[in-house]
Amino acid sequence: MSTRPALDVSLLPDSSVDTHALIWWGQVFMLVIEGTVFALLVATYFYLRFWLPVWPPAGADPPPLLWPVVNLLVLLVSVIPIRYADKAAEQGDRIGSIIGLVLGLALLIVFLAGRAAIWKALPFTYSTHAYGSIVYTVLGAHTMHVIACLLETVVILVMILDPARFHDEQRLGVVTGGLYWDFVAGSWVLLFLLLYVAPRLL
Amino acid sequence: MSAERPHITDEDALRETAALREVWAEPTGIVGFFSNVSHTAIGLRYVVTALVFFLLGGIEALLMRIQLARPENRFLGPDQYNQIFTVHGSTMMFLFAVPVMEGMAVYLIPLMVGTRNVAFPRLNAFGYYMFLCGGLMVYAFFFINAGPDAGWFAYTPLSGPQYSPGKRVDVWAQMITFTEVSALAVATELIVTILKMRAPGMSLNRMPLYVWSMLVQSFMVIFAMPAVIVCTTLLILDRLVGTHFFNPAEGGDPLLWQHLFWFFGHPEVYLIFIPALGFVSTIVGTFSRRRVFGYMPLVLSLVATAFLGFGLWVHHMFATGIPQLGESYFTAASMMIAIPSGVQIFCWLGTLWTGRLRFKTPLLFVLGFVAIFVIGGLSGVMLASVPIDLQVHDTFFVVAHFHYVLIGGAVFPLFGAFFFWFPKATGRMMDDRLGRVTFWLLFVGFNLTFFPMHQLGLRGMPRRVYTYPAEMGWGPLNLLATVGAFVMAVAVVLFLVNAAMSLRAGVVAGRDPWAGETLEWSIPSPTPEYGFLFLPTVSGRSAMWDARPDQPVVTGLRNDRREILVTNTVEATPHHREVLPGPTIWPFASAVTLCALLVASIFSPRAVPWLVLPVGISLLGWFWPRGKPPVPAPEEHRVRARPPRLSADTP
Repeated sequence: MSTRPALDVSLLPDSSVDTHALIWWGQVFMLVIEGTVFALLVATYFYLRFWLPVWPPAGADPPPLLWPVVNLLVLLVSVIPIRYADKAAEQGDRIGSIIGLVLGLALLIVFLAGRAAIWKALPFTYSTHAYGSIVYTVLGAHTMHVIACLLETVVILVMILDPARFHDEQRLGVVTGGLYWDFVAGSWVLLFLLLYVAPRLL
Repeated sequence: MSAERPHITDEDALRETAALREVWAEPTGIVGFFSNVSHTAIGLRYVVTALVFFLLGGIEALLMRIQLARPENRFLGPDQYNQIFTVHGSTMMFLFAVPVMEGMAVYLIPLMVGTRNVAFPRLNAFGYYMFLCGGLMVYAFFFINAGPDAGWFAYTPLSGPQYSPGKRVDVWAQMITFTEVSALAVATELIVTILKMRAPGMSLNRMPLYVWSMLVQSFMVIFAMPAVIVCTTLLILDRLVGTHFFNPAEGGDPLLWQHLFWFFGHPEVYLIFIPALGFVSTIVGTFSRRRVFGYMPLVLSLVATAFLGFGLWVHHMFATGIPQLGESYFTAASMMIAIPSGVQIFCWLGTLWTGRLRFKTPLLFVLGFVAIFVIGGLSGVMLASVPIDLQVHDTFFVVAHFHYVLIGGAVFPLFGAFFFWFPKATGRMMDDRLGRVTFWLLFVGFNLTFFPMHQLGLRGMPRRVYTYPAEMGWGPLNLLATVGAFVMAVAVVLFLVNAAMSLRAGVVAGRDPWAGETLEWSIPSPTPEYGFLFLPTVSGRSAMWDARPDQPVVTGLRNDRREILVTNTVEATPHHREVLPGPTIWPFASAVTLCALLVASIFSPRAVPWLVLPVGISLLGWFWPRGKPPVPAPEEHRVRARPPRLSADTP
């Protein structure tokens, strides 16, 4: 009978709820892709701006700041309960995760409502001029991400409501969902600067 | 001797085989066919589907060559010709070249890094079906005479709402979305597979060169493909809902299209070509019977090519009136590409020079690659210079150049790779004598077809004209090119005949017919559904050649579920075990519903909110956790290493 030497891995953990998990890496690269899309939209904005003497075009003054700033703050604050939910999930605290996700979702819904109101108040549409086109596209792309984030979080929340399901796979879901949330909030900081501050300064 | 260390015996291997065969079994039946998530099955489907599109694209090329064979030919009308050259280019780039490279990698990468599947098997299946849907869609429209007709790079304003009414360009733009989603899916899963699932011992500096090339290529995909998604989306918005991105009357700019498109389009060329460089390094090493000379320079050249590839896009736009400083910068950047390319050619020549060559078909294709690619590179350096570029812009000189780099740089190595890995996928060798004939026909046919095009371009023949007057004197060279195209067609048919015959009656290959260097040659051919019986370990840069007689294997993975080993990114030391998902119909359902949504959006944006629902349901079905939460492993569900015995035992 022939034998072969062996490297036994049976004592290694059989999952990982942190940055070593495959799905965490997958999520990171998906966000790199999404980030590249946003970066290209920013480049498009400045390319269009470059060729126009007046920016924004006549009749579309730089959009007012107050409510967008408030709304930005709402989104940024929503990151706090989501971070809390993440930490709770990593430590196996299901109730903590649920509380964090519910608070985060509530704030995200407020943000979406604010987004809708602010958007509706814009004095131009996507077909008024190229400026309108890029502003609507940036808003639309980001809003799609917000909605996707909302739906994803609802699904994760429903899954972990059942205590029997709160095992590693779903805990990891909370962690990677939190990563996506960070991206949605962080990218809006940059896009906010683009849409609201850049036309005033540049 | 191995009994002095933790070890396994033949009996363990038998047990493991039976258990793995059951747990990794590929589903059967029609539903099973569309549920399969095995990387070998999906990889082969990618390759076969891409080859079917290659044949379709080739037939379109022949139609164009027949039309151009003599002046004032009436074989095709101008509208047909426009559709055919557009679909030919789009097919070859988006439905053949990129997917076939992805498919080869989906098949080979898990085997080369020593694991059992890609990191995200369901995403992999989803990506394949997206690609398939995109291809079927564009051909469905093409066959009802509604194929895209604005060229494979669809410049605005020609492709805009004003000059291309109808749905043709929308079909093209959606097809791009489909194939890009597919490429991005594969890129993500390959990066994670390569970085996190390598066999213990395969640190980054021991990765096979092909794995390096796919890692670099996948990063390029991730940064390049979003640009084409953005620009086709903006184009569709301009066309369907009336935005003004490319409309100068309302503050838009048609040149924006060219910037966005070529920011993707130039890297696109390299992300077809870089996997081919991986094939070349593998084949050169194996058939020179030595390690490839200059591992580090080769890896650095790949990385350098990828970086430079993102800084060249404006050299496609020299004729658009960009500032002279820009022209100079992009000329210099374009010429710099010659440096890493030269380094690589030098390393391969050094390997061949000092090796003991075996002149089998794969090596012939690689040698053909070197010859053709050098010619294509030289015309590339010429085109990088602005005055020459302006002179021959949009002429057949450009057509000659990019066919030399793409067919020479990608298709020749790819055919070499087919001959090389055919035994691994099918268990049988392809016929070597027929292979040589195929190579020579393809090589001669290729040069007959495309070399005269340099001359035609220099004499001023523009590309994309459906015919030309006799007095231009372009007739004889065009006829020569047409003859060459048919010689190439014969070569491709011969290749298919060879593959079909070998599949049934080829010489049985065994595990390792070429004395190969990488891990895929350590397992039976065709690849079993579970890949490796015990995951391998690696103790050198050439996994097979450096393996010690008692190279250890990995044990202790559970065999009642699809467990794999996750290792650390740089050193590939074992970190934890993870379970890969099994077969499911939902990725297929998601791709089909998403396809319906995207096609419907061309015709009626109002349908979109309704069609979001089935997509959402399929995605939920995909992600909803099924079955019981995991339970701790009962001991009978794994083969563990037996404890060491005292050496007195050994006979």
